[in-house]
Formats: sequence, structure tokens, C-alpha cells
Amino acid sequence: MGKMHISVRGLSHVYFREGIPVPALDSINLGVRKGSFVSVVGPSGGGKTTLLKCMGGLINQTDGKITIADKPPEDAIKRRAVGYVFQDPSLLPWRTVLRNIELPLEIAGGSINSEKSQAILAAIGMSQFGDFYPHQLSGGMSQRVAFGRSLVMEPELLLMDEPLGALDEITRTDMRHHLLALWEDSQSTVVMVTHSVPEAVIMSDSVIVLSSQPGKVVDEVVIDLPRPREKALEDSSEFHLYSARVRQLLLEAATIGSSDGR
Amino acid sequence: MARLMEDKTSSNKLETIPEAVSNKDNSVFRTIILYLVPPGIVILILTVFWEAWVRIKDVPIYLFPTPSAVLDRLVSDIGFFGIHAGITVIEAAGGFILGSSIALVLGILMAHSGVAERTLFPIALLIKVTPIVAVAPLFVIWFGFGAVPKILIAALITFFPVMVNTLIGLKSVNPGALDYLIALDASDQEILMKLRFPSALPYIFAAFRIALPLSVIGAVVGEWFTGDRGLGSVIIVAHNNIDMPTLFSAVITLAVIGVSLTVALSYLEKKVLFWHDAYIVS
Repeated sequence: MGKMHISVRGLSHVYFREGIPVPALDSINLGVRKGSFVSVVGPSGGGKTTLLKCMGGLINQTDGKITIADKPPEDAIKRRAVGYVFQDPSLLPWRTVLRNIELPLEIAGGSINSEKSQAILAAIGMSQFGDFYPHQLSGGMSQRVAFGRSLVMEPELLLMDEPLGALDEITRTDMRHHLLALWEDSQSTVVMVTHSVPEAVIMSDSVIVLSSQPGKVVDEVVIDLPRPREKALEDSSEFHLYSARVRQLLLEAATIGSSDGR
Repeated sequence: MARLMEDKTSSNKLETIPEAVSNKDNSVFRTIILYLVPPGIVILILTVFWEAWVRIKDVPIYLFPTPSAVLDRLVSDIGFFGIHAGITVIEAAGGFILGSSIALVLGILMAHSGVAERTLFPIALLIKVTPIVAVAPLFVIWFGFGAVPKILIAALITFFPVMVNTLIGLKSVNPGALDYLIALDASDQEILMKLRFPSALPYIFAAFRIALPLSVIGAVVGEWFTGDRGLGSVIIVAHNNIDMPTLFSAVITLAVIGVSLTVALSYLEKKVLFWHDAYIVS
């Protein structure tokens, strides 16, 4: 149980904006347990997305070491063990919902198992929409297809960058519980970047608070709430205590950021 | 049927079916009235004025024929104009297909390699800025009086816009979708076929809209220098004989060809790019 699925040691990343070096991440250390749900929160412009992209092997970090199941992230990508969900669903507009969901299977080169894709469609509540095109869907539905597209690969690790960020508040609240239910049925480890404190608290096993410019780990809050997490839990006092704690850390993160900067 | 049943049970609670393109009022008659009648009326009025003006002023026919004289020539010699139009269209189409194919291949090559782009782009530009009319007689000397020089001239004139737009289109991909495919460990070839090429299609079609009429111009220019077949040669011969009704008929036939090709292309574009913002009926 104590095995870390993802381990990040001394991770630093500097990128260049118009020739000027901008430190995005500074000596990040963290571990994510297998099968857990971890959220990363922090001020805007912090290195949250950079951290996620380093974990997913989309960016090569300047310094430090990341392992996924004791191997470099590139290996996990090669094994097609990493699923991605971005804020923008980025569905391919010329493909139907079903064909978008089958895209990862096509690239993996395996035969397309239509039963499996139909099962995914049912899981995301979109069985009637398999033949629809992305332009015929609402934002919430498109994002569900993006989840489905990631889940069809049965990834060991699911990296999500503000997956609900583009949705309106009501859809967003519904979707977070829908997403939780989907995750609880899977074996995936999830790392999710979010701006929403309630979202981080209700969904996660632990919340990592990051300061900005450069991103440093301020603290990690372990959320010890029972699973499955019901909607009603959002009205409980424990939930509010955790939320208050995360919010307080975010304030600290903001002051660290401003004193560090100019 | 089984799927339908299953759909009923697992119906989703969050959202309802969006009002998907229910606006399919595809009545051809309506389209004709909406798009053909207004310009048709204007053209008719202008034609009437033209006819009246030539008759009242008694303009000699070798300067300016009446529309009725032109129409008379066109209708009585429809077979003649048809054959020459067919030749011009085949040459133009051959050039368009040849030029576009080369442009697509080079565009893909250039999108793939910076070295290829830096090497080929200036050369392509050089070809583009050279006036086609200046090269045409040379092509006739090199390739004879058959269809070949005309096809090559049409290809040359078509090639540049298609190549440039292919290059831009292949580079204009949704960064999120690109990241997603990279995260899936997709190969360059898969990224090209599944993302870059479909993303480039709107750009490629925009280039086709420019290139298709250009290919007709290329074919006609080529025909000017040989003078035995095609509408271009019909124009030159009629010009030498001061046969205005024939010249006008050839010009009108060319206009009809241009409009038909453009309409056909628009139709194809709408079918292929149904998913593109420009064609989504909301």
C-alpha cells in the first residue's frame, strides 16, 4: 500500500520567455500513491500545468527526477499507461463521438473493440450520442467524451489539467460527481490540477498546494473523508474545515509568491 | 435495435439531445430563388440595356455585337463551343490535379522539415512571381502543340496557392489535440493522417477556390499560343477575323465554365468540411 506510483524528487523547471529565463518549478518533492486521487492547487500562473506535463513526459524538466512505477515517464507513455484530459476537450471535429473515443485504440494499433467503446459510451452517459459530431455537443458533453477517450485505454495514470475549468458552475458540480463515480470504478491513479478548492477537497485523497513563480510545494493536505464521496458531503463540517485549511494555505502560497518575486 | 433498447435504459440525466442541425430545409427550389434570381434579374436588365444601346446607337457588329447576335451564334454552334470547352476543361483539370498533387506533397514535406521549407519555398516563390504569360510560348516550343504545354501551364499557375495553404494548414493544428496525440505516443505519420491533414483541409479548400479558376486561365493562355484547339484558340482566331459574336460566345462559355467549377467545388467543400465552423448551421 505504501508504494508510490509517482515519485517526484528535486524537480525544477526553467523555461524561456522571449529569451528571459522564467523559473516555473523549484525543487518539488512529492509522491502519489497507486490508485489515489491527488489534486494540485495554486495561484494562477504557477507551475501547476508544467508539473503535470513533466509527469506526463510532455516537457523535459530542467532538473530533478520523476518516476512512474519506478521508470521514467517516457516508459509509461510508451506502454500507453498515461491518459490525459485537458481543460479544452480538443476532440477531433471531423470524427463522431464514438470515433473520438476509439482514437486511442486506433493509435495503440489494437483491433477496435466495439463492445468496449459502447461500454465507455454508456459509462459516460452518452450512449445515444455515439454518432453525434463534437459541434453538436454542449461543453459538458464534450468534456465527458474527453474522459471517455482517456478511460478507454484503461490508463494506470490519469493526468487532468483543469478538466472542469471550462464548464459553468451547475454542470461543473454535476460533472465532478460523475467523474468521481467513473474513477471509483477504475484502478487509475489520478493527478488533477484545479483552481477550485471545493472540487479539490471533495474529489481527492490529498491536496497539494503549490506557490507560484517559481512553484514550490507549500503543503499537502490529506483529505480523510469516507468514500464514495456523496454530494451531501459538500455540506458537512469536515468538508468545510478541509476547504478552509486549503484556502488558508493558498493565501500563504500567494504571499510566498509575491515576496519571492519583484 | 438492441442498441436502441439499451439507450433507453442508460439515458443520461444531465443533458438533452441538442437541436442538431434540424434546419435541413434543403429545398432546391428555395435555394434557386434565393441565390439565382437577384443576380439573374440584374444580368437580364444589363443585357436589355446592352441590346437597346447597340441598336439605338447602331454600333457596328465588328465592334460590339448585340446580345441576341451572340446568343444566336452560341446556340446555333453549340456543338462547336461544346467541343472546345471540353478540351479547355480537360486541360485545366489536368493541370489543376497535377499542380495540386505536387503542391500537396511539397507542402507535407515542408511542414515536416525546416530545411525543405527553406530550400523549396524561395524556389516556389520564384516560379510564382514569373509571369505565366512570359513562360507560355517557351512551353509551346518545348512541349509541342498538344495538351501537354497547356496542362503544364495550368499546373504551374495552380501550384503555388495550394502549396502555401497546405503548409499553413498542416501547421495550424489545435495544440490541445496535438498534445493529446503526443501523449498517446502517436507516430509522426499518425499525427499527419489523423490530425494535421484533416486540420489542413479548410485551408486546402480555400486554396482550391483560388486555384481552380486559375487553372482555366492557364489553359486558355496556353491555347493562345497554339491556336488549333480549345476556347483560347477560338478567341484568338475570332479576334483575327474580327468575328465578335464568336469571341463573345467563347468568353461567355468560359464564364459558365468558371461558375460551374466553383459551384461544384463549393458543393464538395460543404460535404467534406461539414464539421468546420464555417459550415455549421446554428
